[in-house]
Amino acid sequence: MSRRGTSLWTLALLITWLLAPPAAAEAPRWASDRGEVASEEQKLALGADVADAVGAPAGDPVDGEVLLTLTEHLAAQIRCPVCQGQSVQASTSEAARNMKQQIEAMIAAGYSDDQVLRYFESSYGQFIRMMPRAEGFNLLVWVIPALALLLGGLVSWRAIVNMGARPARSAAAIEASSEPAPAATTEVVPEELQPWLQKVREEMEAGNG
Amino acid sequence: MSPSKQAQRRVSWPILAVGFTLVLPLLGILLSGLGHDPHDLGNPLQDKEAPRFSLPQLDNEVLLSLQDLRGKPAVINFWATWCQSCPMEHPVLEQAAREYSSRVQFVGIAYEDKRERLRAWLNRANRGRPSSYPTLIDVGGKVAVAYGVYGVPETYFVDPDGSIRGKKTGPFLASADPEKDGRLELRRMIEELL
Repeated sequence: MSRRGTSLWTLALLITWLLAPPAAAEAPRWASDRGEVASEEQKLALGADVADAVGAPAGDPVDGEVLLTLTEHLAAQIRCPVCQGQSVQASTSEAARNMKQQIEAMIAAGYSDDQVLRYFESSYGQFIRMMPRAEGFNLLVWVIPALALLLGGLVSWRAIVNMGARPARSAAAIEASSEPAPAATTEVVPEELQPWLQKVREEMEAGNG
Repeated sequence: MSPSKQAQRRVSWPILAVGFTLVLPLLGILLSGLGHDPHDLGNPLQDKEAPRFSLPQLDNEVLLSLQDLRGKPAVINFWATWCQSCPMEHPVLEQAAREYSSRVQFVGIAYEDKRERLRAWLNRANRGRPSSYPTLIDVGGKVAVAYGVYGVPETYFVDPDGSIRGKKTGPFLASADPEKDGRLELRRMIEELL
């Protein structure tokens, strides 16, 4: 395969890897169970602090399969505070379990995604969002990767184009080098060296002959 | 062509400018974060109203709420028996609770723990004497979530009006070095509430 073909193949693989969806996350199993097991009533109970922080629920109560789906979806957007770069949905820590139960309780009561996110943000700060708000300084998080991708694409494109042009230039260069040296070359040799140069030429011609 | 001219031709100024535009802000962000403690994530609840709660007490299952603590400064300590530094912090808190008993309300909130284990642990730590302050049970950890607790121990300082005025992440530990003595640090944080 030519170098150009290899480069295109590598580029295609890179783009496929970048665009591939993440592997489906499995429901977590808790790493340990040091606390008392919360009853179903305790799991769905909401403290007075929730209404203080984000007001009354914006929607209607939710239950069943829809509740579980919405909880998993939202838990993937909230960071586990005691983990390294994991969401509450992916983590097996007790802290993540407690937070997930709070998410479920809030959704069950009719709180919207935005209200749930704002509630956690009021306790833990903006850090708790897996995806920071796209505003102010945070915009750099979106702009810089896009610019870097654009620049990388341009550089890659240029490199690929140059790779294609290089073999043609190389062939021309080899052809040029096989031609006899122009007579003008002798002109740059100093006068006192001309006899030596002449001798070398004669010897070379004798050797070739 | 001379080597210097060849080098000049290799530099693509537009690409260099775009590169600098991308790299310099990132470098600035990196440099600005160098002096910052990565474990210090701040306290979004600072100077805000403390989240309300109502939890059962370990001793008698009677509910104790934040409202019950109003009128006096409160020191709310999240802890657990499985926490390694909590046994070392416990005597410091006990001593301060006794010292400030008439002026400050101390409350312990057990995080991810069980009643039997807590009772046995406190009985052993207090050598059979009753605790100087109540311990509340937070089953499911919802109060810990409301306070933004990352781990135990964490201590919150609430003024008589119910606003959070300070937070300590990690234990208050006794030390012979006044610079590191958690007893002095705890006393200073309490005095700020009074």
